[in-house]
Amino acid sequence: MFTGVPVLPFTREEHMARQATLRRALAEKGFDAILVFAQESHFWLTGYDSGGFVFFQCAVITADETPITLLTRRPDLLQARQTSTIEDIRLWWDSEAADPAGALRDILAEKGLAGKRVAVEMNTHGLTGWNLHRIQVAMAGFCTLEFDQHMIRLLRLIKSPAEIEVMRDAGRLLDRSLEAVIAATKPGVMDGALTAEYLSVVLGGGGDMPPNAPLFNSGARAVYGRGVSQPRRLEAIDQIVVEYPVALRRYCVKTEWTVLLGQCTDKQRHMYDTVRGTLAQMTEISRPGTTLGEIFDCHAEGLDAGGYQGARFGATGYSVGLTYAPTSMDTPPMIYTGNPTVCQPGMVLFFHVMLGDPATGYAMGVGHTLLITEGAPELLTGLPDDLTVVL
Amino acid sequence: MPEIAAVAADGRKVSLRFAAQEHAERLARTRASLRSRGLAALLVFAQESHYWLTGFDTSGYVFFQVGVITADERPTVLLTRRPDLAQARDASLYDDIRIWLNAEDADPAQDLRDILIELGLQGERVGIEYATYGLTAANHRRVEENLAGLVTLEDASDIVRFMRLVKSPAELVYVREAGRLADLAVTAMIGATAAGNLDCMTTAAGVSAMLAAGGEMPATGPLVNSGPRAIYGRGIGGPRMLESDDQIMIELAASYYRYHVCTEETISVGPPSHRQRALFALATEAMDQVLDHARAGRALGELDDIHRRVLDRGGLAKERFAACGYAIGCTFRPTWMDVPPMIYSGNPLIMRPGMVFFVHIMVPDSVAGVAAGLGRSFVITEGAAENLSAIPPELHLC
Repeated sequence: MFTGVPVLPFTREEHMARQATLRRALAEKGFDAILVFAQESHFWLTGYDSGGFVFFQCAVITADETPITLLTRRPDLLQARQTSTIEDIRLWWDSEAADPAGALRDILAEKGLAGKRVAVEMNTHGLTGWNLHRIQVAMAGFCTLEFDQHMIRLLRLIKSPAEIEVMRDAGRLLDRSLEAVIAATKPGVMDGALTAEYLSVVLGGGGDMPPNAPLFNSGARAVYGRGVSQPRRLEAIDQIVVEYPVALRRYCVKTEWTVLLGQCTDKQRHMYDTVRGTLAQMTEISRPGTTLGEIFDCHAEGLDAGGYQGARFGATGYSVGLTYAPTSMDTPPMIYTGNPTVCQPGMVLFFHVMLGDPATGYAMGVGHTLLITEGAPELLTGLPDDLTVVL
Repeated sequence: MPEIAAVAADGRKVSLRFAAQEHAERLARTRASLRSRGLAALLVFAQESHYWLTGFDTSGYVFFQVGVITADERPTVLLTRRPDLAQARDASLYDDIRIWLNAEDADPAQDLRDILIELGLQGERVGIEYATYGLTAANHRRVEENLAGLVTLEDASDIVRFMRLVKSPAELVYVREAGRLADLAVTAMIGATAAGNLDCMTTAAGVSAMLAAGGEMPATGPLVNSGPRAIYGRGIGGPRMLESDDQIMIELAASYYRYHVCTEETISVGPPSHRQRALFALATEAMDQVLDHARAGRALGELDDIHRRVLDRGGLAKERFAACGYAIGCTFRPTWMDVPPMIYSGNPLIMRPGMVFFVHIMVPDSVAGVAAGLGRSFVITEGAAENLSAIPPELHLC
């Protein structure tokens, strides 16, 4: 009745070329294999698209051309077959005696990896501290495990033309969502209804559910840096900071904007002018050769010049792209002082400049996503020309 | 939807989701458990534990973030990043909030070491929550390297987790409300489903209904898998146009104050095939038996025995999953599954009043490409299980 044909997110050639790049990188660093735990890596390398990373799930990729083996659970079997280039899929089954790390060791033994150097993808929510412990115990005396130093994440940092096309589409969808959110913001509306407005545009436009919850923080909570539970009704005089990703085929772009209701005091105007001007300065210098640390320093100078030294955060953005829950921050790299990562064409970054004034409770945040090019950066997401004040 | 005003130990005013007294009792029980295991402190990495113990509600756990709870009454310490400061201060009972700032040489695990020294914990045995998305393998390594020789670390992932299994009356109020929101979402999703629509509009209708009724974004999902994807066990990116003869599997959780209640439904667009009706009948039969059997004093694994028995008798032994559900409660991304415990055959955990579980009977026929499924969340009581959904078990037709 319903027959599934394997469908990959990118051309098979692009996936196979990514796998070849990884195999070369492994060989160059003297690794015989890598244990892949990040769902982002599964998707980027093979197309495999699942939430299965919340349990023990690992792909073994060798430096040589041996086919990839995936170890996962039964609920993931069919979509691994139908969404990826992987043909060798092994299952582990839940039980009191389940030992997926032991099953992984058997796979490594089959592939002749006894006594070899094996990289482990550690900086991922797909490998908890507990599961690392289990593989360390299972592999003790069998092979050498080493931190992969973000190997695949750094290969993903520079996007291909096909990835950039997806992110441009995501940006257009984001722009429509922000217009809809702004139009719906008025006194009496629940901030949760604005979240629903955003999701309706995103999902109706072919986007995915976002990997992290959007932040729609109003009133006293607008100074928070994170979303919280429980909706709140907007009042006649109010403020709301929105920060959210829009995911299309798992690729995220992000925005941040502030809407004031009922009033715009001189203090709020000064905050806005400071963050908007700072964002523009940061964007202006983001060209090949600029370091991420310099972009942070530009952020710090802008806020300090506005008199907000005490209010600023320790980071002002990060790389974005392919991410799964719980986050749309594709880090490292983060943009903090001293980060030596150099901007290169094809990198996609999210910058946001956020202020919270503890004395008045006023908050102000702006942010956008940009693509580094050979020249001036290409903005993938737009913002209104001026602060939105709903009177 | 009351925010509960309270005063933290240092006199600052905070806003909580539970009475300060309830948090104090949870903390006292945690400390008693630490003492009974001979642990001098607990390093809290699970966001569920931060929230349950202190009210601290954030997504800051995607970076290095740790709470330190000593077995005695010393002030509780939170180490987090700058974006989390305001909500830790205004909406948690942590006594002492420390900040680490991103920098090329930043090592928050070193800051944690300093905090442990300040607290006089050198040479002590210290429990740590390892089994959580709040502690990635990379951060685990940093903690082990920095604390080597200072304290002896011991896995204590289960202490708060297993205390959270049995819900308090106040927690059950939120759980029941989440159940109501999940039903509203299902009803809205059925209403939005029609041939010619994108399946993601079904998703949008469900999420909008939850949010409009006072819920928040759930920890993941909703999973809306249509057509050939209905046999998948997980959500997948990218929308699909519904055809005139189609099938949809819906699995979702609604979240209220971070308490999740799950449900699973099957929709047929156009008349269902005989095969799909037969699969759904099996799912219903198994679910009925599970709800009937879910009583205090019985072992959790027996619920999966029912799932296996019914599906095996239906000739689906090769298709069925190895587990049919899990505990649910307050959870954060990336999952609503509050595990362990998972519900698999042989799990010896004894069900007790106040525990809340989700069981789903997923029946994929991968040969025919047809799927049916039914799932319900329920509370274990002194008597029969309390079903958290009021929607009758039926194959929905659109």
